[in-house]
Amino acid sequence: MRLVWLIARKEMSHLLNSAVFCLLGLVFVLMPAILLFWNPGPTNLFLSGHTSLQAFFQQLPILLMVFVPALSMRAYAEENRSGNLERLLSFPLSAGHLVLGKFFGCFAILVGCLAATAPFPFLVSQMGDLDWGPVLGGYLGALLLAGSCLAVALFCGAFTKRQPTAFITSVIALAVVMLWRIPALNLHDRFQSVARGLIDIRDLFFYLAVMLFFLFLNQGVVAHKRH
Amino acid sequence: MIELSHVSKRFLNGSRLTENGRESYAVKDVSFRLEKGEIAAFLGPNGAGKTTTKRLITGYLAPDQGEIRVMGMCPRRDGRAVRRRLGYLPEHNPLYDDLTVFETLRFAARVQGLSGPGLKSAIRRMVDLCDLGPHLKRSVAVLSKGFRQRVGLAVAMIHDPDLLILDEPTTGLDPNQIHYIQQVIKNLGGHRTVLLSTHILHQVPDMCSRVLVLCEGSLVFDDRPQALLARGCTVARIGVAQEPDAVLGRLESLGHRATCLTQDPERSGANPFVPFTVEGNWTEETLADLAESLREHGWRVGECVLTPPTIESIFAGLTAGDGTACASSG
Repeated sequence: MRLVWLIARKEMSHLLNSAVFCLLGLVFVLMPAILLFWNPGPTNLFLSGHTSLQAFFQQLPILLMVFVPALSMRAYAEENRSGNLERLLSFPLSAGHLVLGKFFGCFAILVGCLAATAPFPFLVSQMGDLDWGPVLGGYLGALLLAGSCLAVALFCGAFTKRQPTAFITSVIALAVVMLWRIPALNLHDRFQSVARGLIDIRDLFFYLAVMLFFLFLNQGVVAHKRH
Repeated sequence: MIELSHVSKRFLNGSRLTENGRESYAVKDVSFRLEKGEIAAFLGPNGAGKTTTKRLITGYLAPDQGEIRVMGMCPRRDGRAVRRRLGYLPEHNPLYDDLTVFETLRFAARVQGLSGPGLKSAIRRMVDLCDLGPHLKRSVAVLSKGFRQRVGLAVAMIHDPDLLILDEPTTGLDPNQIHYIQQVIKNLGGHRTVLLSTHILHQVPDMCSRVLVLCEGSLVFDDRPQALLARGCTVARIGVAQEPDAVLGRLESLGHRATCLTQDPERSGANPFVPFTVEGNWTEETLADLAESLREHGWRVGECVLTPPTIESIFAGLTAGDGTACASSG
């Protein structure tokens, strides 16, 4: 676990030292304000007079579809391009340590970004009677959805040396799994269900299974580099 | 310490095929053994298979055939145990540009399992050894190539490994930096085994106790540097006051391979002699005989000098494909 933590810390440090990522993070954190207060549509809180975070949670899957690949595109592409992966794999690390370290490092940043949007529910609750069930469900669903998207995006990024390629392939892969026609495998529909406050243990297991499946595949890709 | 036994590795992408369409090898049937304390130079032209062999030893790649033992262990099966006792400086020395020198060393030390006082003393030791003191708080991105190389070397050595594998550690450095890195590597001998590749050949006899030469994936030389130098041939340099084509023709008829050394063989009144090098393992006596046979033609012979072999000329001979350092005998 110590090695996973070391890699995770390095990953967090790379992201927090990147001006581009900090700017993207800021946009992500301010997005609820744009969707709830400046949105000209019927979900605008001032126009509808309805106090809920529905507008934010409805758009969150699309937001994560772009934000998560932007956050994860550097993780493997830069290591592959610079040759640092070869050096990392010459340390007494396993592919599993590396994959889990990168996942938890990026996930911690995602959790931080989602936590930074927490003042908005409190702000909305000042405007009227806010039902906290869907809000808490929404945040739980957001964590699970973000983790699943991250596992998919990291897996896609492990194949390439170029960050733009990693970004584009991850967005396409996420679009496929979000808009998948088979309801049982659709990340988006399950999230909408959790975000309404309907927490089903099968949904939680589904997201955990998606994360584990793509992390396992990712571990296979990294291990295959030692061939 | 390291033992390779009939190790072969095919090209990874399968793109390199021989003329008859068969698979060709990055490394083919390579066997050698390095003992503790040896500093071995791993030489070969670009694409000879040096980096592949080093990756096989570190366990980054698996051999298609043969067996590798590193400190008695298999680098694939006992990968983590081998890598705990191995330091590796890859070609191009990749480092994280957004970390400072101190953060880079601390990260490497922690990944190697060091903590507390052990970690601090390891960093201090590396800072002293590689003279990184004034640069500890600087970002790796702003370091000169020489200092980046020192940081890379410190990262490879921070856990005091028994085996150090260095891939072209002096490439692109200025002469002072080369000298510094050379001294650091020399001081490592005796305590640990070092396998280093370099294209700066004149460093080798002074720095290494063993030389391995790889050519087209095969090991063509494995011995002490003195043995390598002994394989070299003394080349003769002679000046003849005659048309170059006539001299070259005469030398060829005597069974010697010669080269005219001047681009403009127009002879001036001040220096009528055209310089030639004649390949072969010459001595004072054989060179005098050659000069005499040219004088018999009525030609004036000027300087007759023996040029000792250089490691570069021996390397060129070894890797030319005929497997010998001497193209012809004198």
